[in-house]
Amino acid sequence: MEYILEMKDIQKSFPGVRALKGITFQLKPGEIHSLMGENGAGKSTLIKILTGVYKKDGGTILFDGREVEINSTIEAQNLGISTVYQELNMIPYLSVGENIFLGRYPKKGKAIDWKKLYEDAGKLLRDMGLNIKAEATLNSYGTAAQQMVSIARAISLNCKVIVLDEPTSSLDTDEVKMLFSIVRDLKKKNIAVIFISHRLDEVYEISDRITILKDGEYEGTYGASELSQNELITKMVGREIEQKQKIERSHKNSGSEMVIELDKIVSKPKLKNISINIKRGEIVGLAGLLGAGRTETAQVIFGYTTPDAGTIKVKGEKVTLKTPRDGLSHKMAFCTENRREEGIIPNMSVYDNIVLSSLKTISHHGFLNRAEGDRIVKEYIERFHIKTPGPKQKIKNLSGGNQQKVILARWLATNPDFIIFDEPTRGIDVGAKRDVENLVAEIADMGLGVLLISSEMSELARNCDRVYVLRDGVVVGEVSGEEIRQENITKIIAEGRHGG
Amino acid sequence: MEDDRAAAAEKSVSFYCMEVHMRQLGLKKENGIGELLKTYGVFLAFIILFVGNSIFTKNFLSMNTVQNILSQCTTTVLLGIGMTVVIATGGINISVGSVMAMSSMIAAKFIAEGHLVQGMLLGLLAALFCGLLTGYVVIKFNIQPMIASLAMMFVLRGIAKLLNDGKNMNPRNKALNNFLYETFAGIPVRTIIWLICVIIVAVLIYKTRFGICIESYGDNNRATKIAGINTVAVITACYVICNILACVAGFVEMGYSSIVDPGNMGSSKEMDAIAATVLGGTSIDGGKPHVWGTVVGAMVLQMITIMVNMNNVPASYAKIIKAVIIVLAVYLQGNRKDD
Amino acid sequence: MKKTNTIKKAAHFLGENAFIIGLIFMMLVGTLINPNFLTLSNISNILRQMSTISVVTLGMAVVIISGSIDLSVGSLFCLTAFIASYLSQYGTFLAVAGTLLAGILIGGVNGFLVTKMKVHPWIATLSMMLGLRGLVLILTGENTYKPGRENLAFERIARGGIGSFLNYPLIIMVVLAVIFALMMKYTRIGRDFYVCGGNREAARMMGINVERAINVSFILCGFTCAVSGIILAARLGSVSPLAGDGNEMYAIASCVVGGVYLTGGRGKIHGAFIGSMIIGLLTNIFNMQSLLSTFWESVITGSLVLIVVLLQQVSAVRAEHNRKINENV
Repeated sequence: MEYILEMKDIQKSFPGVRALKGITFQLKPGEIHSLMGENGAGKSTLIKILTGVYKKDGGTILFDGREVEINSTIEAQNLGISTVYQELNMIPYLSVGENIFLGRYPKKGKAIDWKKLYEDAGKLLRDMGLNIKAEATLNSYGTAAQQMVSIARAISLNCKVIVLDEPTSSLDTDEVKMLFSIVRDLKKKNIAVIFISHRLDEVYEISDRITILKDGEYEGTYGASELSQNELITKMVGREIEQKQKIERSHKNSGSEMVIELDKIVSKPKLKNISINIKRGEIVGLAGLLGAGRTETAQVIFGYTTPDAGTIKVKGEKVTLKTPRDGLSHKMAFCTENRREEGIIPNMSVYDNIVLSSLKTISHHGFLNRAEGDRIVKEYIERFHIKTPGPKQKIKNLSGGNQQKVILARWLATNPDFIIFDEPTRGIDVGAKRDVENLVAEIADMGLGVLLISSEMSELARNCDRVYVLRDGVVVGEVSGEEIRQENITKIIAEGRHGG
Repeated sequence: MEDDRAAAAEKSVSFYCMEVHMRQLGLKKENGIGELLKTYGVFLAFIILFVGNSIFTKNFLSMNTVQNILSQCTTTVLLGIGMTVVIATGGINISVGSVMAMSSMIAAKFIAEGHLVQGMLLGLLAALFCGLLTGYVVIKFNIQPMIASLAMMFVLRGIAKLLNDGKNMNPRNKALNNFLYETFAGIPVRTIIWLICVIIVAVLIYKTRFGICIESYGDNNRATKIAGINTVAVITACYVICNILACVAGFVEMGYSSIVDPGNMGSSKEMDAIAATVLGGTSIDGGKPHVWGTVVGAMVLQMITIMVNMNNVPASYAKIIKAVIIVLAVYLQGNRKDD
Repeated sequence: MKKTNTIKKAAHFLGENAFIIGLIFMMLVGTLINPNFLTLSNISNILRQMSTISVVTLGMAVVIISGSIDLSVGSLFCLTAFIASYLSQYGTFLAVAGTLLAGILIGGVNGFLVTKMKVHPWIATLSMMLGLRGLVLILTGENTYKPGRENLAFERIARGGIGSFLNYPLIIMVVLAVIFALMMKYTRIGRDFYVCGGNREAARMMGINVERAINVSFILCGFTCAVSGIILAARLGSVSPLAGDGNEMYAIASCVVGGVYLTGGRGKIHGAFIGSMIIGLLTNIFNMQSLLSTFWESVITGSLVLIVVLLQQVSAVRAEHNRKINENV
């Protein structure tokens, strides 16, 4: 039998959306197989179907040659499919040994035989070449060691397939080396590994084969040695090249004044060396694959996280930002990527959501001036064409695009000099997308500095004056004007190496 | 074009999953009769209880009873609206009963020596300081509100008892006592006091930016923080307000009865406050505060107490009824956020 | 380098077992105030007195470790004491068995409210605290209850013993503590408590029956309340309807002082047990001395809880921070 696991024509729909459109995935015993794709490509949906979190709508899963239905995580585990998340599935304050044998304690009579448990766990860890004490609390070790323990648990369960979901995202170089040597040992034990990572070097270093998903469709499976990095990226992000026109801009309020300057920013664990600047009236893009440190950069600028080293200047003045309030007081605005969790206040009205950040300007001695608020809210609803039955409507009842416009209105009402858009068009439909892009242009033409983060290269190409390219927390390149094209950015990402 | 649409659809997958998740968390409630009942059910309960009592309880429909309900619910209303403010932020403050006792004991100490104003001011200050402490510990150090206020409840009860070695105080102040027995146009002064407090809180919540911040924090605390709201100040202020209202409730009880029992004053009153709040439609997980709902909730509780009294049922039954009310109301509010 | 390591180890040990220092400290203070403190008869007496709280603390620790809380222990303690007292008129065995059954049942109700009705444990058990107290007040007619017929055999449960030192409550307390400690360490359900409190989501994914574990934890807590209620009823021969008021705070304080984290999943039974000794000694010492009013006791207990919880939180945040930094150096 050639494959240990075969997923054929896997279909999965969520109401209104087809998440997976006939995905094929074949895993040979003892191979290391990378699953690649950008956000929304369907990787995590596929993995969740494999591990029993979601139920598939159609298609078949063959495990060890037999057709199987996987309805829960336990069933997946019993079959021999184990997932190593970053930390989620471990119990931090229990011992390493117990975490490995959790739920399957060796017993002496009726009682748990701790001596045997620790002996077995210790032996297992030593066999893996790990210097981890089975008796120690799991939490006393770092993420890397915890992942190794998670792998040890999978081995002890006699798993035949192990899914490593972004295992390296918070590991340093040595730890990654160690992880890889263990993964190679798994290979010798004839255990198949599904590896998910956004770091291309690692993918190429470890994988035998690579399967690429794009927009919920199966793009293809390739031998790692046959596929260049450049080809890989193009296959992942490349849409039918829509070299659509740039969004119209007047540039009437552009200037040479620097709004934001970052100099050699380091922020553990993601950012290693970030130096960027943004001028008045300019739209600057941040390109890079997932996990390159784009959102983290934005968070540092806004004061959501405080960097470990480096300086931030706002209009030439060095500042220390500790909370989002500091960002706000330096006239910054931040439309976050995660609209549901960090943007909207779901059960409050459109009105309240718009005025939330500029409450001071619409109140006298703390008392709300509803008339002034009404004026602002009305202005933005009209200006942004926000489709809502009225300002009193709860924001959760609006469509994604309109919610996004409300958040945008909230920030513009604070009258900022600088605004960050993190994936502003994610999860909203095409028409609204164009609206949002036009708004971004309009805002820049008002003289604001704009930082635009997007994983869609074409979006960056349409909107940006300049684009910084990030890879693994380092700025590896910069393109501007006509040079902003998908193939150029792809090339920079592919060639860019660690800055040291 | 086709491609674009597909891309958009894909992007909204994660968005959809989020939505499913939110619904599971109970963040996304469907509108409809259920929702209406949650918010206005308490008015219905009020009417049913009122009509029911009019029929089955003798002498219920006398002017006296109505006045009794309106004046005897003072403590519950004051504690209730304070609790509503705190619960709207997603917190809880069960130290209110002890705050009542402590502030009143401090005031009583001074009143006994003839210093009415100083006594009340100091009592108020003490309540304010304790609110500051509770709120700050909760928001800054991320301590569960329940444990922070539980510890405060214990500490403040101890302090209240310490002040007079556990013995009752009998602060006699004719002016205060007479004032509290007054009526204006047939309305007892105690009713007027709570009415004024409710109006102040309602104005604070519905007419100021502070009110928006409270609701916003209770609904989505992360987004509120990112929106640049000073969450530490807002949350701390909520606990302070709650304690000040508890202090006022304590003063009214003290002035009315001219006696302060440091061991029993306000004891288990926090349960009445919680009951009034959840009955009034404010979600125990935080979100929109329903101040007027809480007021009606407090009256429903008072009506239960009066009903129990007038029908010669031991008062302890009221405790059981309240416990059942809280559990049922919280259960009906829907799924809690899983912890 | 080596030296700092030793110091670190010592600091770590003390950090994990700070409650032992607390216990020694309390004993020192006790000896200073009362020269007869460290006599066998006195210790035996103190242990008998604190047994009611200690036993409840065991149940509370189980509930807290599984990630919930039970605020109804004080009222349940009082209710079971009443039941025991009432049933003792009809036979010792009936009294013991009936009371334990009642405790288990009410614990089960708590579990039901939390797992099936999805009411937050804080709110559910706070309501139970109020409701059960109401029930006791009704049953006793708001007066101290004294059974019509004395049952000397029943009262021996609290008053008798083996020799002069080993009184029965002391034996019950220690035996229960040992059983609970063994259960937490050596049985599947004991480990499930830790898993549920440590990471509920992961527990579900690993196929642990989370709801069952939470139910059992509340039932065990109800059981300990019943045991403690029996001891009280037997010791006093009567039950005040206000007995056990504030017991939940003493039990929580005992757990917290004994190194059990209110966030769940962390802590040891022996820690909670020693914690209850510390809190018990605190009460005892306050009763002995005449310098400070006894009302300081609740002030100190409450502040202690707040301070220890604060320290736990701060140290947890710092540990997490250090871990992150170390990882990336």
